[in-house]
Amino acid sequence: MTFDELKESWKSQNAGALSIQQRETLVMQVCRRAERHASYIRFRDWRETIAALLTLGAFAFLTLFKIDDIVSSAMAWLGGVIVVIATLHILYRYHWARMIEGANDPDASVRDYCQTEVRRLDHQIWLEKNIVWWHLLPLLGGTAIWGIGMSGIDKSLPFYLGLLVATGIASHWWCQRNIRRKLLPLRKELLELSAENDVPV
Amino acid sequence: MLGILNDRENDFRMLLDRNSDRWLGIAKAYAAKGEREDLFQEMLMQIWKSLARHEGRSSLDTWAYRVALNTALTWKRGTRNRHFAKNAITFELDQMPGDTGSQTREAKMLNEFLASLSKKDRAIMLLFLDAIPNQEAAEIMGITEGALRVRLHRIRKQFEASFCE
Repeated sequence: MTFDELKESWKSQNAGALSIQQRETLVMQVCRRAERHASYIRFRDWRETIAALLTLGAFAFLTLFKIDDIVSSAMAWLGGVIVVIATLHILYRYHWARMIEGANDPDASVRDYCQTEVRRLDHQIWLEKNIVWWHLLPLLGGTAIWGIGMSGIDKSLPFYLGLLVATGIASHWWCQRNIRRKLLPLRKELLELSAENDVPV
Repeated sequence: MLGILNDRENDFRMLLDRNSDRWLGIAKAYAAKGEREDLFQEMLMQIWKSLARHEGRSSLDTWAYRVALNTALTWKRGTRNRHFAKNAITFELDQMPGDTGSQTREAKMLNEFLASLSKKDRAIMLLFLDAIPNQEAAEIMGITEGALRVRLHRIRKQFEASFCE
């Protein structure tokens, strides 16, 4: 069998694998699945935005209207402001990642597609690697300062701070695990794919 | 709105009629037996979702081939989340092409050879097998036509060294 004869063998292997009826069923199922997927994405975006807005609203309200004496509750006020700014920043980051950066162009050449995927992946790795600085520390730190400012130093304080620290450690651990297990292997594979194109011919 | 959706559905139906064999071939080349349906479904979803963005720079068939190939190249096994798994397409496809126990000697040889190639060489080989003209294939891969020819020549040599002695 010669190299050129492989074409015929390939064609005969794959020819008519799907009947007309199967194709018709597939069309219907893909349409339905795409609709469900779109509504799931909408729901997820709304859910996250509402959660952020609730946090934002609650802390803004408590900071602006419930702290009468700014001088004596300076710490609570500071904590509230940090949480509000952190939430706005996180919202912006998510918005940037999803809307402005957008999805990869599926119509790009294989080379461009892989390179864009690597860039997107690098951004995601950076975000997860530095989650302490842009997400956890401002949000949990702000909440901690706010809590201390509101109720002062009492018996429940170690429990309150412990809970925040545990939440931070768990989130950080989860992100680093995700980088190690999913993102880095995927990045390596994509880089290998891109590099294969650069082999001198 | 409904009109646009119907147009997209018609385009998709037409594409599937003309290209399902090729797409199944891509799924077969990039996924292990038992995972091919997952990849095939993912390819269909990507093509459907991207259809609205087709700008007409290339023919619909070439464009869809490119989307299918990009999806296959970056597809990770077992990464479908629970939501996708729950909404997975189920279609009565008893056996993907090439899954039959009674493969011909040639078919077996070809599948073995495809499996031995790197992901990118496999893509070039698939373009050759699907008789995509070199210029179009080079455009799909994002390399020059000369580079594509050289790579194809190397693949040919590799095949001859392994199976034609």
